[in-house]
Amino acid sequence: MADMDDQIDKLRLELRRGVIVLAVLAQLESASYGYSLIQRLAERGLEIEEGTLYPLLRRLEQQSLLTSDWDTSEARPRKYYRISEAGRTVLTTLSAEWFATAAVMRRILGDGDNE
Amino acid sequence: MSELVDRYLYQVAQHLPLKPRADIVAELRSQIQDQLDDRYGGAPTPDDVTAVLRELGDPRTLAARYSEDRYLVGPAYFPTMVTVLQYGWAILPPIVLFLSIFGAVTAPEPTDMLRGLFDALISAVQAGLLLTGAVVVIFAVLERSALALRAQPTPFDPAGLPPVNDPATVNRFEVAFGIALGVIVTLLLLYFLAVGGLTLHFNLSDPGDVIPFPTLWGVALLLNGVVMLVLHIVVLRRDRWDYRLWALETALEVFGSICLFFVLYTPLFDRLIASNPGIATTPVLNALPELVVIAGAVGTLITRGGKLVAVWRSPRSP
Repeated sequence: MADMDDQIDKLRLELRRGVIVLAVLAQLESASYGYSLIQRLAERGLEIEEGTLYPLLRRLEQQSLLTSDWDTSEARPRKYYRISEAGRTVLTTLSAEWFATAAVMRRILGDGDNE
Repeated sequence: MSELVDRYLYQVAQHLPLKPRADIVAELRSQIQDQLDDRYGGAPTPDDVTAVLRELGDPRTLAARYSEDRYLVGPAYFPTMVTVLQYGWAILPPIVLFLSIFGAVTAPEPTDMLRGLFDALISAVQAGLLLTGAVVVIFAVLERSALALRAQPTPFDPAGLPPVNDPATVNRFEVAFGIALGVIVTLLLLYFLAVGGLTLHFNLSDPGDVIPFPTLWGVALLLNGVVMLVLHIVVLRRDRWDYRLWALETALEVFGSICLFFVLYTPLFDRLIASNPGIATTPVLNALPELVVIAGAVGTLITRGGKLVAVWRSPRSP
């Protein structure tokens, strides 16, 4: 049973990987720092571990999908991320892809017993 | 900030690439503090800090998520590199072992056999390790160079697939063998040229008993080995022979065996005669180096000539 749980965990991770990128891009129209983004996504029902999100933000920045700025005006400096122009293009394309895939999957999973 | 957080960030930093390290650590510090403030207000207890750090996970795992391409040789080159290393280890240490024992047996002054055997084993392992280092460096450079092993400059067209048993198909094992051999020859010759002759002690400051050979032929063999190495890398990248490359490889093999006559066979034979003068007057045996090189060259031409014609006739050859 533990094996099955492990397998499900791995498959769940694979399933979520692309979704998280899409969710992060969608939430960064207004600038946000790491922890606030985690909270914002959690409020909308998507729980992401800190150890997953923080490196992801940097990776998306390296891919030029996000831009970042250190805000040093507060007592604690924070790094704010925001979606870039390239990120918006990617988000638009991937969102359309997501809705199309979701519709197809609903048909496939929903009609599975009618085949 | 908690001392435990400092310890955690220090461990993360140890496993981060140097360039973005300071920035990542500063950001993580601020993120951890945000989390502590949000959950526990201004005064988190050590248990609170522990809980937050536990959620962030093992420092090494976290650091690894920040790093990409942290490998020396990637999946495109790795299998070929392993094959080259397998061939290299199968060929080089036994050769060095054999030559070392040969050297000890034919040495002008009697040597302690047990000591000789031990030295031979050490030399064989050293040669293997040197080979491993050189091969890994070559493949790491290939990995980071603009060369892509399976670069397909044109879009894939099924109709363009070569026929089964196409003579121009590259046998990756053969080419990997060639690369291993090229590296071995290059390394050995660089060493021999540095110490002024053939020796079985792989130690620059103490090369031991050196059998001199003509430097010019040594340099020629070295260049031959380097060209062979480059040729095999090119073939591996093209993934296809053409008659010119095959002819060049054949020529290099023949030329290499001529160089070996002067660099290896003759000096070793002279040494053999010095310890067993009877050989010099024995018919056939006294022309051993010449016979070996002629047989080698003729064998090479016969075995490779057929394929040269087949590759030349192969429809895709330019």
